Amino acid sequence: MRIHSNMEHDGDEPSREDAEFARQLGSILRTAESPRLGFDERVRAAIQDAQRSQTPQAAPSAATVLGLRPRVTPIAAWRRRRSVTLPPAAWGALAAGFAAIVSLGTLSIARRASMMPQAPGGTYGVQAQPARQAVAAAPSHDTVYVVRFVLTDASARTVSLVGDFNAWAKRATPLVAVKPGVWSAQVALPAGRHEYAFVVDGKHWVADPASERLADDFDTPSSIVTVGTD
Amino acid sequence: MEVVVPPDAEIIASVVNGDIDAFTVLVQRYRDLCFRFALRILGNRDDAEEALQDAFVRAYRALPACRDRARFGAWLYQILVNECRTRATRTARRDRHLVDVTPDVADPASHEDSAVSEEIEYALAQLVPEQREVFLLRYVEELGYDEIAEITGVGVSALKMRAKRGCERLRELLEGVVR
Repeated sequence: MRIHSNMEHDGDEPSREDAEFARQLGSILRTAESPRLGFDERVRAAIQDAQRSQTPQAAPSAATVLGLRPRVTPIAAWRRRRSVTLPPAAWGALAAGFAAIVSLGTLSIARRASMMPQAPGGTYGVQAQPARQAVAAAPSHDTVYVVRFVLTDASARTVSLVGDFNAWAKRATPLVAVKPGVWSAQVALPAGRHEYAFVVDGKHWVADPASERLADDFDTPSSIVTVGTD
Repeated sequence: MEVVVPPDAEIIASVVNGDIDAFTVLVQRYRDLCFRFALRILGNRDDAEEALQDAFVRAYRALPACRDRARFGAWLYQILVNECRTRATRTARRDRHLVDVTPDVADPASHEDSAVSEEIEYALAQLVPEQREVFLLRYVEELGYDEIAEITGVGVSALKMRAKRGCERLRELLEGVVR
């Protein structure tokens, strides 16, 4: 066995001789390797299978698909949710009728700005307001929850909401500036646990500091809202 | 004829907007490099292909969360490294570390090269997984320590220590085989 003295090289890096030897091995191992024929088609088929196995509106978040099993603990804010009972036909009316939504509970949650991930050029704060729309009950019931998402960011030019309820599409749910620096959107969510985040100025991915937060393997933050599971 | 190679970010934008065919371009672009890494880490083609396929599927599904689209390759490597770690743990009880090298040509020189490769593969399999991982990324894929740190989530100092120990071990195992 060869024993290398610490005098032979600088610190904890491989010695010059070992590194040269490793480079030699590397050049031998750097041969072209390819998967078997048909690999591309198998990947495509696997993707399509995965898409079919998803629920209609739910594209899993990065955290989910990367195999994390986040601990879900609804925070107090979302325990104050209000439920709405809708017949299936009312879904369309609901989508068109957000302007008439009457907010019921009010909740303000402040978190320190230091909790905010990647907040370029601004500080963030959040108010979350569970809300509901009263719709006449029908024999067939689907319970939905109208959830208001609010982000406070004085420097933002655009804010959008992405989540498993809109396939993480950043153009699907833009927030509206209800007053300077306060961005808001209301979304009808079915009962259950949902993951979401905000996208500021089309490129900055921001978790909601007022909600339980997830981070996937690459530290991409997202948040959790759980509704309708009392 | 001018061949235009769209950058990763442009392809990803198409994929996120629903064009699954565009993702095939990314698969073809990164398939072989990633497969080589998975093969060296896992030691056999079946596991390597499965790991790579799962990594691509996960990447596809997580694509909207890929923040730096210009660095898709590094992001994909992160997913693949995690996938390989999971599989290596799962299959640790199986003694299948040797790559199933089958020479395509039966001439003596080729056979000799294959024999050397097999010796190296065998030595590589003797390293602890953490050392093997950093050795492959540093000396086969020729990535910098900063990039490896980003991919593996391990600090540069720890990576250098792993590289050092891995290199020393390989030299012990392969003394006389590779000159």
